[in-house]
Amino acid sequence: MFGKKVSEGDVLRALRQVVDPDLHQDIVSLGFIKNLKIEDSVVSFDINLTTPACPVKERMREEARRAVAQLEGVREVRVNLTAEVRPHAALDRSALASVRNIVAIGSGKGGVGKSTVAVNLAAALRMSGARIGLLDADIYGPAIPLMLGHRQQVEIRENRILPAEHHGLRFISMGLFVPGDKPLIWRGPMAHKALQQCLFDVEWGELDYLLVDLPPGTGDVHLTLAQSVPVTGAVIVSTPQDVGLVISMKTLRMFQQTNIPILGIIENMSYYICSHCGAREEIFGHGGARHASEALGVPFLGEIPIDTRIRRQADTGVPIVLADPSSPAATAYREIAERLAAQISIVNYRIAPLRIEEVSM
Amino acid sequence: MITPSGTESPVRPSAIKKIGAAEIQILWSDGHLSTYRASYLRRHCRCALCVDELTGRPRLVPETIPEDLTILSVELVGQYALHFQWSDGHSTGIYPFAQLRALCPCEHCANALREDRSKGPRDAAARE
Repeated sequence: MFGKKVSEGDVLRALRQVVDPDLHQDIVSLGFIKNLKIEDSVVSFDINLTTPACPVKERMREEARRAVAQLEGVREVRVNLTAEVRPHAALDRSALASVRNIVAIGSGKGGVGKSTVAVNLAAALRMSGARIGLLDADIYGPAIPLMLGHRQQVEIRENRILPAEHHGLRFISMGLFVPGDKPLIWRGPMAHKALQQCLFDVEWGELDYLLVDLPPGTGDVHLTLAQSVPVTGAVIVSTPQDVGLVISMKTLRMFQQTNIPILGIIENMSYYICSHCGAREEIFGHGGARHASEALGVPFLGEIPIDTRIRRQADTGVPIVLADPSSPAATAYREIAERLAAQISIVNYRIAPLRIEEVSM
Repeated sequence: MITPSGTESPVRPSAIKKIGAAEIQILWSDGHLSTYRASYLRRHCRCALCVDELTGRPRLVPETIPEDLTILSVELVGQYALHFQWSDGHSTGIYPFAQLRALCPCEHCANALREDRSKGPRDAAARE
């Protein structure tokens, strides 16, 4: 008890051995260590992560605990995990000042389950503690109000649109502006205006991630998004079928041409587990998206099985991630959400903000 | 072959400066420095008013652009392009960074550009 007293410097030196596997830097240099206290040879500190959905948080906690416990004069180590999602560097001037990251979710073609994936990812990120907004920009088939079980019309207060809120998710959909059975018949400029309204005239409040569910393919809405706001990155949802991937490639290139980093590819409808006999059927083939992402050097975020319950839950307005959190489908979604959150942190760490400096002569 | 996520993808600006009223300077991630005169960029505008959308033939007569043209304002378009308001009232062009890099007027790049001209139009999807 009366041996060597441990100092803050000793603790920080020990913690420098712990490296964040995504950012490839030690957690001290990254500024993750907060509230370091040493009292009666009990060391306590917070590790302030870049996302509450960090996939390796328990591993980092354990490594940090072990590194400090080895020091002479330390009797007990208390590690508290906190998280603060870092904002994308360029997102601060607009009406979206309190939105930290805008993430686009796209696909090469329709029918790949993009909206279902968007809703479940949103729910999974929400469960991890992040504040989530969901913008349904699919003007051709806005489905998100249905999938979240909320069909009320939008509320407008003092010239600002209030997002709908259900299951702890804030969302806005083109589907909320029109009665359910009426089609949206819009020309390009109207879609452009509507998306800008959903971005700038909605009272989003504080958000860690705003997910934007894009229409399939490439078009007006995509270009408007890329030109109006600094998008942190984009996710591509694909089926394993090659034809789906060839088309996804166009979407990928479009994001690239507008300098939007690709956060990863998700393979949806990857395989089917028969609910009677448990046999695995690969209806659309399997692994196509993984191979493509390896060839392209783009992160592969994971695969989601075909599961009747995913569809049924989406139809009844409670995403499977919330309705049955321990199901294999929900687990797949949670893992993908964690990998996505990690990719977002990496992009924000690596990409410097662009701005124009004015120099007078 | 597509380049992967934007984090390592092609050269991007690491600093953009508007110098005085008629010059833009871009320092690229590979260390190259490009300096553009306003009149030069204005003459290379690829918007639908300056280049025919169907034939790709120029509609803008370069000689009509005064040498002393100035930049009234310049802003970022998302994270991929610049948008200018010129002193002649024109403002419909969007200049993706890839196009700006290709337009670099320095001697080294100008030579490369001449060879490149034989290829088709660039960045069709990213233009408006």
